[in-house]
Amino acid sequence: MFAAALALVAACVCSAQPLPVTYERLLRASTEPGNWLTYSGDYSSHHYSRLNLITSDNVQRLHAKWIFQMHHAKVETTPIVVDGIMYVTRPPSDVIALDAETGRALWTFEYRMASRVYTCCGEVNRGLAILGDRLFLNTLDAKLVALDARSGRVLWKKDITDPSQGYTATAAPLAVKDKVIVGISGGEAGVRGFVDAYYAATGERAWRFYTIPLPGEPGAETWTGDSWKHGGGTTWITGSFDPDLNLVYWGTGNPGPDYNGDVRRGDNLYSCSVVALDPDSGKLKWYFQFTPHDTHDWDSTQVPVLLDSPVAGRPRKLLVEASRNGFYYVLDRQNGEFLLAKPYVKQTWAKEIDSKGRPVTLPGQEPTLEGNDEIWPGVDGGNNWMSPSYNPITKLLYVSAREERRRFFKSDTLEFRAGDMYAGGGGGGARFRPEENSGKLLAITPETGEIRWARHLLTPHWSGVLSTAGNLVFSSTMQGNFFALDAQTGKELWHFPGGDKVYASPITFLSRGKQFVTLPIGDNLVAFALD
Amino acid sequence: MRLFPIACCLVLSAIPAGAQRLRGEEVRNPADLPERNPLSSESDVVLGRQLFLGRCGLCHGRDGEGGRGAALNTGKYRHGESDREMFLTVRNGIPNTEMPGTFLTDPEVWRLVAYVKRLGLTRASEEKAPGDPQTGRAVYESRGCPACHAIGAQGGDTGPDLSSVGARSSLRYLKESIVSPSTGVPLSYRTVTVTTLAGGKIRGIHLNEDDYSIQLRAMDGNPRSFLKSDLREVRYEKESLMPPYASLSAAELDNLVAYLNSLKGQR
Repeated sequence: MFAAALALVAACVCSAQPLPVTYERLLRASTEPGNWLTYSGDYSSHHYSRLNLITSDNVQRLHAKWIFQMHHAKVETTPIVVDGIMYVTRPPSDVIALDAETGRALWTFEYRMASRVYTCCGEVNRGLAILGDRLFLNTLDAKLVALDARSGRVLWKKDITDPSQGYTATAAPLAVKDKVIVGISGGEAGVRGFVDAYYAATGERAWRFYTIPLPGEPGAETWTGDSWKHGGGTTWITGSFDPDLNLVYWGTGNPGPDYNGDVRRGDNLYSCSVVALDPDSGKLKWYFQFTPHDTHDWDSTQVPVLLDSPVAGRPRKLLVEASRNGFYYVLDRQNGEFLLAKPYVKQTWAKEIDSKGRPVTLPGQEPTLEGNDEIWPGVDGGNNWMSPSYNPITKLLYVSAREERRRFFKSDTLEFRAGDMYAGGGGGGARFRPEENSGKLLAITPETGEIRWARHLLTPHWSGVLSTAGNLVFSSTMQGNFFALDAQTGKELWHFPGGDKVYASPITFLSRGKQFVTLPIGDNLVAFALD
Repeated sequence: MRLFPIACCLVLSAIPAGAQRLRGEEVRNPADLPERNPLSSESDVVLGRQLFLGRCGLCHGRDGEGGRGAALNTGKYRHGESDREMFLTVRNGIPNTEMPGTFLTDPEVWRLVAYVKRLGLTRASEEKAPGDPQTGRAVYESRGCPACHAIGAQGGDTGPDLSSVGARSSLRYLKESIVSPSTGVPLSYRTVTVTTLAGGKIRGIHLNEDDYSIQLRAMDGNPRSFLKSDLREVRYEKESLMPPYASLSAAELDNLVAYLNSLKGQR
């Protein structure tokens, strides 16, 4: 075992290959742990690294090596790393290439928006895609930009859609074959969501899949009147890809207006779902809706994690997800068949998830005009967009979870205006005592939903999780305490007080043979190494 | 209300012509704006509330109690309390935060400002206190209140600063806070007791905390910080550190409330 690990490390050092990053390399991204080649580390979205130079035995020696200061909140980015060069986005839509050894900038691409855009939740950007020697960037004002990875020079720039209508683009794109797949944001502004694919070479749009069907299309019967026009279903977190099945899996957001469902009776397909799309055509192969007719802003924009494992004695190709609605789900990713759902945080809105995967809802769990205090999880959900991690050695899924009480209300003064808030209510909650809420990092047996261990956190947190072959799990508290746990037991091994809020997920990579771990803490990107 | 049509005319003439846009853009020169809110009548507040519920309540809560966004019902606004400052905050947003600017029209932004100010004033008092403030001041001092509370530069720090308490608190709230202080302890003045591994107990006002340490202001007024690894227990208490002053006579209570109500702070 130890010899095998050494061999892996040797392979790692050699595998920090330079540009160009071909599609074939993206297919095998997990075999290049010296690099970090996609938003979630690989197409299966394991957010895991085979690097094992930093281990549960030596992590106590981990210390800060450099800081890159962004001077702009809020930093939600996950970098790409290729051969010792880190490509990182800075809010709202800049890109910087850094020497991953020193944190010194090699080039900077500063993007200026032509006009102000409406954002619900900060001027954020979550990262890049790389294909060949090109980087692909979604801009806050809904453009897709291709940059030369060597220089930051703009190769092409295309309009995804019209930002004056409330659309923004914040997710990292996903490069698949010769295309770049992008999601769209603006779910609180009454937009109609979609997933797009663009040819990497030219920027020409290859296809668009609207997550809200037109009248007459399948699923349109789940909307009343013209409500589909502002139906939401945005796609603001990067999906996953199974090359064998040739399917891209992408999560969709809440229906609009968020909290007042009276104007959109029905299930509101394909909001709060995962859609399986043919990456060549954009055709919908299957969907699974986690939360029909959502009225709690429980987007299903969690990263879909793909893994192969037996369930009930039968080998399965799985898609697993800890949904924002408080239930952990196991699906067969070949066809969307529902296999299992189990609560992983306190939830009060559903008696159970039935054998078809549909929630059996309980009364008294809707937002009211006066405000409803009796609903768990809160508006930010049991989980949110931060990256989970699946570790093939421990065979555990690590998830950042939120135990939270909030107050849901709806507004009856609905008025749609293009480019303006169209939420129909909200979810406050500062009136609850802080001790009523907490965070936790969960280690879940993915096939069963059993919680193997839980690390309690003082405050619900927004940091994702990285796990490694060094028997480590990395994440951060809300206050910026970046910590490492034993991946098997959850025992805390190390922490660093970073001193600011964290809204991002850690990654790891090699530089000059050394393993680094990085995480944006506040508006500082901090890199850690052993020596 | 009878004055509304007249006020309305004054209002419209007070708004620079260029500011009356259908889709409001960022205001770059604050001097373009009137200093006082031109649209703050009762009907404006009602319209402002509708705008607030549909747009602002998402983050600030239905009644401005806060959530993702700041609480707006405290009467304190970190980015400025004047009408003009609040207009700019709503219009332009707050850079480097999640607070976006808005494309609402200028009159709509003014109405929002009118409503938000009302949120902060719901506990404030224009009421006439029945007691005598001067006599109340003597009660305040003789009962030991300055040991914990500050007014201006004088007093202690274990209780809330009272320099402007009269500007944002109703008479009823003031009375309740004196007689039954544990009824509504502000989150920023929660009581916490920590027990060290050796068994020592330290009680105080909760100042700050994360997963590894906790900070509090001990009863002697000194700030203290503890590593949680050195503590056996951290206990949050619902009771206020302030003792109930139920033994005050009705006259003493009225006078003390009148004194507190007279504290409007300095701008």
